[in-house]
Amino acid sequence: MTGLGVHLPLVDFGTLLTVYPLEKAEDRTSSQMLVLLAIMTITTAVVIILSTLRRRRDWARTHIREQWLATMLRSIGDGVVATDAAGRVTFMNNIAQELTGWKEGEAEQKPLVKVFQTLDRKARQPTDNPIDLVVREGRAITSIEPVLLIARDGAEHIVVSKATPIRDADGAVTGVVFVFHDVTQRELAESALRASQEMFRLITDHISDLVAVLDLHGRRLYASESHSQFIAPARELYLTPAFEEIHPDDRERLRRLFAEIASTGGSQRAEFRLIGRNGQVFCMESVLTLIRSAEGQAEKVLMVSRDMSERQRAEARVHSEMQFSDTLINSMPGIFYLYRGADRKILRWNKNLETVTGYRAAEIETLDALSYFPEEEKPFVHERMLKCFAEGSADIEVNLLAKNGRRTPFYVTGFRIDIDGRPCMLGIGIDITARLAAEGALRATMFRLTRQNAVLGEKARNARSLGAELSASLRIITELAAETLDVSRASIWFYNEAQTKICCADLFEKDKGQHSSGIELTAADFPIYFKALAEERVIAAGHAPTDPRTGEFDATYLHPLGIHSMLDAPIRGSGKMVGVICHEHTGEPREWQPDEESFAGSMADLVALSLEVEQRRQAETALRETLDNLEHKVTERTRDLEAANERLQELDRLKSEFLATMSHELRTPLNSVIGFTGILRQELAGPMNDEQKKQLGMVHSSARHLLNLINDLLDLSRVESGKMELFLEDFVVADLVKEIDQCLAPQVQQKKLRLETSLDQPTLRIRTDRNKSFQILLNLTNNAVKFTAVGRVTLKVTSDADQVQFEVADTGIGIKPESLPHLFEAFRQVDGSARRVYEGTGLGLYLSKQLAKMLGGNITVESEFGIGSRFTLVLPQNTPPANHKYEREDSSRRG
Amino acid sequence: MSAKILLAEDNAANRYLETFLLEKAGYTVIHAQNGAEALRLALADQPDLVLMDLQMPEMDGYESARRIHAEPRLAETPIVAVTSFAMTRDREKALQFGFAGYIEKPIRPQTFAAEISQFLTGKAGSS
Repeated sequence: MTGLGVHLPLVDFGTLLTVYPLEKAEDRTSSQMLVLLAIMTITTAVVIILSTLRRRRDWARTHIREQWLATMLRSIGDGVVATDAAGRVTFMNNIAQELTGWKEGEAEQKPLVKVFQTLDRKARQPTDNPIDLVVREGRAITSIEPVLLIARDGAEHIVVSKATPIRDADGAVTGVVFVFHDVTQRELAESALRASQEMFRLITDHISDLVAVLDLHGRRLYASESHSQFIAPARELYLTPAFEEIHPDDRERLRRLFAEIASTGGSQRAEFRLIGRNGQVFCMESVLTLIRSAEGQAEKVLMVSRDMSERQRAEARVHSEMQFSDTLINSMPGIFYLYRGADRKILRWNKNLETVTGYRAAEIETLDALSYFPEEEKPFVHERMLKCFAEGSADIEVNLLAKNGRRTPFYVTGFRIDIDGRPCMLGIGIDITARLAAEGALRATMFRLTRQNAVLGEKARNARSLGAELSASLRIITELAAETLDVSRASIWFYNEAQTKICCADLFEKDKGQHSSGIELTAADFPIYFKALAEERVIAAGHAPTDPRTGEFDATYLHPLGIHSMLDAPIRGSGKMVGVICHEHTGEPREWQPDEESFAGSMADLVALSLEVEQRRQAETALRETLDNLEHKVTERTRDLEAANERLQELDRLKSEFLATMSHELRTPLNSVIGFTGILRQELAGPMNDEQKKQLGMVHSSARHLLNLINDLLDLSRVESGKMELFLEDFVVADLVKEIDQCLAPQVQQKKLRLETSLDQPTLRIRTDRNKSFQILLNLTNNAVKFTAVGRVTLKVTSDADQVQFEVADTGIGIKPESLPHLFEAFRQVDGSARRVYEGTGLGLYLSKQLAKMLGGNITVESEFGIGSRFTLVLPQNTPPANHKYEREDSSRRG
Repeated sequence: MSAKILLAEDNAANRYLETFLLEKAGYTVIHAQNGAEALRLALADQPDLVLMDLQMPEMDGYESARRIHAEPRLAETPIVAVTSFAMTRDREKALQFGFAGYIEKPIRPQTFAAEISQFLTGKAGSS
């Protein structure tokens, strides 16, 4: 065989070793041609030999020749089978025996097709028997296509064969020589090769990379399908030069590189631009590898190219992303770092970290992450880091230690992120120096405010002490002001009447603990200050000597006393300037805080209040004095009045006693007279004769008359002294009328008159003093009877909603017109001349009228002299409780 | 009518008068000349009625009546005031002091006994 080696391709993209070149169909036959050539040669040799042997018939030589031939036949690598003209096996060499599985002895005289079973490789159908054809046509037939030879035991071999006729001297075919060649290995190898070639093509056709195999001139022997995307379909590229599509600027470089590889071998990478078929430019990265033959000769170059455009774009994107994030991170106000837990290194950081810590980038790369913290805070930081890794995030307030030892308070937040599977921490931190300072300032202010509040609160509780006395109050205020605002001097000044100067009412010096007063400052000397006082709510001069409002005091006051700051609050009361409260601070100038200004204002208000209290107190004192005076006077007057009152009451009492006594004393003897005369007249003490009875009757009348007089007098006395009391009761008027009737009945009968009574309402009730109303009515009707000689007396009772009228009319002598006005006067008797037959005291009508008035009513009279008279008593239904003292629900009877 | 009446009256003539009338009406009369004696006799004899003059020396009628009524045995005994009333308030006072009623002086001989009997039968009233 020639050196057509069978190479299995070993493919590893990166290192391509050797590759079996992909040949066209025609090339494939060359090997077979050679095989056949061999076969033909052998066949020819065999034919010649046989012919020679047969012609000579020299069996000795033939035998030797046969032996030699047999040996030869055994020695050749191919199988040889000979048949007779009928196709029966006459001879099989060892190879043939091996391949078919038939022993020569067994195969002898068997038809060839039985021994030599062949199948079509693809269809696995028996192939045609060439023997007949050979015998008939007398020519050699070569089976070009490998066929499957099925051995007796079923083993398969792939063979190619040739059948050649054996001719005798005459040229007749006497048999066939069948030579076949085992090409199994070759076929299998070729199959494998084809398979791997398929694989190779499959791979290369489907990858996006461009795979090309070039000859040493740079022409494409193979191009992958991917070329169609960039340049042209693969099939069009065969034997086209590979560098044509490369950008002119890169082409030369590539050619040189190629030449280098072609000569020296190895593998190299190159970048170039490819001009696509549409004119697009692709950035390619290529690996060129030399392929050597089995002998080591430079044979081909493998070129694998990748479009870098996408990658470049991606890289560009990444690059810009990175630039963006870098900018972002560096523009952050605080520090930023990415820290890897495993080795405690900081992987990424922003510029601020370098600035704050004072370390350069090179140092930061190497430093352990805890180096940035003070020693005493490291355990704390470490613990927080662990927390961050455990829980995902954590934060901490910590001092950052710079290279130069300076500490800066930071607030840092950490987040855990895993990069490449390793836990890392992303940290962001901000400088909180300012915040801490602000918090400190806030706390200080809070403390101050709390203290001030406590002071004011205490003041409120001690308000009474303020009200005590003005100078004491002022002292309290200055002390508290100095204490609270922490100043060395606090003073209160008041304007004078003319508002031309201020006088110090109290000055408290904290260090000495002393109070003093008396200093005066004239407005004319310090015009700017005084103006400021009048206009401003508060004068907060942090730098008093230089402050225009207080600068006037510098030479004479501030400088000598070392005062650097002043806080003055004007005191105003009822709208006008009253004074000022001053707080002066020695030592370093201080900036007055808003709450302090406000406190000073409160103190000023307190002073104003104290002043007001003082004024009130003074007013109160004056008032009290006046009141005391008045009280004194009033007391005196009252005493006088009381004394007078007492005397009056005494008199009154005496009067009552008199009346009571009189009443009793006067009546007592009468009791006997009336009583005894009554008994005697009734003959209770024994019989009486007429004369005795008559005389007793006269005594009895006199006694009665006397009693009436006494009663009238007593009544009069009572009426006059206002001691007449009403006893109101509710009673039926008819009862009263009936009593009157009964009372006067004897007299009426005796005088042979008629007494007629009538009521418009029999059930009429009235509420009045029963006894007195009886007395009045009795008086009137008695008079009527008395002054009527003949005829009748009528008592008519009418009523309406409010009043009851008692009309007493008679047919008596009447009253003369000139007497009417005097009728109701006391001690008047009508016609007191000769007609003594009309007895009376002269008090009756007067009293009646008085009584009627007391009961809220009145008596009126109408009369005609000689005809008769009519007296009308009017009483209210319900007597108003004017001067009544007693009332009773049920009626009472007068016995 | 054998009721026992205690008469408290300081004036002899009045005493004579009233006793005469009462005995004539069939009552038994016991005399007291002042409030203290009235109290003593009331306790001793337990009269059915007491006629009390209000103005008496030593103990006046009011006080005597109060004391009499303070005695459990005499709490229900009617006491009638006999007086020449000057004022209305005397009337009220009498009632407040627990008098069953009063009779005004000068008495009327014709009706005196009848009025007394009313007080004895328990009729509420005052003349």
